[in-house]
Amino acid sequence: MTTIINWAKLVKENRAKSLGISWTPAEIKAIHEDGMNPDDVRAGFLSKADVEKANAEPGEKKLRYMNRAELIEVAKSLNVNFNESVVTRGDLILEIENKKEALSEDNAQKPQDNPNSASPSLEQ
Amino acid sequence: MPILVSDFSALTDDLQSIFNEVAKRKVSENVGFSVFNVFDTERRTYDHLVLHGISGIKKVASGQDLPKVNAEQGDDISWTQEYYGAIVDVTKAMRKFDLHNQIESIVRSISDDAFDKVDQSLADRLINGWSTSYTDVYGETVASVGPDGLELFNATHSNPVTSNTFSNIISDGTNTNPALSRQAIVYMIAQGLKHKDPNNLVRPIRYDTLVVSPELQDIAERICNSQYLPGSANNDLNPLKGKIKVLVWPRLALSAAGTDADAYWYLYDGTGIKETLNCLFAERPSLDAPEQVYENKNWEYSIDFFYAIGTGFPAYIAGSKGDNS
Repeated sequence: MTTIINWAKLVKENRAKSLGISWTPAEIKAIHEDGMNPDDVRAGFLSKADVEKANAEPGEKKLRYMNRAELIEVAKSLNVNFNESVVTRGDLILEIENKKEALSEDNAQKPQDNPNSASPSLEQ
Repeated sequence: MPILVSDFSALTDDLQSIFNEVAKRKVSENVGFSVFNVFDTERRTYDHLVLHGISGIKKVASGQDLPKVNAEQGDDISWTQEYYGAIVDVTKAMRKFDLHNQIESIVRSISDDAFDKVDQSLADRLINGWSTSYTDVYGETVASVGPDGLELFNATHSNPVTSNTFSNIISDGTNTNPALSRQAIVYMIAQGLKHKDPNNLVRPIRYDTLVVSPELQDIAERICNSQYLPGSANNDLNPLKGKIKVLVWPRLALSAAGTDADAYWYLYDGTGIKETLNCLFAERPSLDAPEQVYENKNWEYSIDFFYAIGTGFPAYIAGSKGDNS
């Protein structure tokens, strides 16, 4: 027997972690008792101190520590194709990582392309 | 004497009367049918809406229009019925050699199986009420979350209107999931009566039924049915007597997947429980007359049914694992 609930609505209302994933008791405690931002809890933080520590880390902010709005900005800057109203945080992270990987492969191939492009003239 | 084709009608009548006898006994014995709100529906997928509170009643001045009710958006959930059944073969050999007793035994046993499995599936929904999914009596993984995406028993059931939450995990005032005790029942009755909807209006939950496995029957009866307060030196009256009905559900002792749940116990509001626990049938179990399979000349009787279990607004039941967890 199948039970279907409106996960999209629950996620939008911050009453579920993600589509098909309920909050754990520790996460619920962090949100309701400690007053944490649900997006930070989705990113894996269970205390405000951990959020501050991660934000204070030097360098680019890790994708898993970004909230949905931040991920959307990054995805747009990388021209990831997605529907903003329904895309999940997890899928955004995956797509951004895939896009970054593809870009870094392209960049890595560019220096090799130059010698190859010169080779026909050598053969000639 | 062999059972001939001409005896087909008589045999079918016999087997159907066996099935009916089993069905009658099981429907009266199976506690699940009295705990869950059992109803018939022709819809395979049943949509259920949980409204967490409607506000709108206001004082109306003379000549003023009545205010429109502000229906708060609720949570919706849908339950899809699945098909279950089995074939009972009456073989050529059974008929040829008049193994009537054997035929009866098979039909009786498979009829028992149908009703026992439905009852166990209902009990499993309570035993696994602290999980978001579990393996049911048919070996399938089923989701057991309610409309708020949480387990049936959770300390922070939410609503779409406000940030208020409520718990339906039994507490004795100090520990959650306490062992069955008078203190915990008294505490929960008081908490239930103070239950507030999302708009902070008190909407009492009147816990009036205690559901236990056979292991807890003795203590449950003593707590709820003794004339005097158990353990008191001065023969104080027992205020719970006559207020809490004790239901002993044998299948609550052990889930189909093997979870030992002897210490688990539950309190529910007999009036409101239909908002929480539902069992819907598009077709109740029945024994149907067979088709003959010509390859082997078996007479195939079938027992089949469509049903689903649905959990709705969880406030009307509270549960404890009895381990102070």
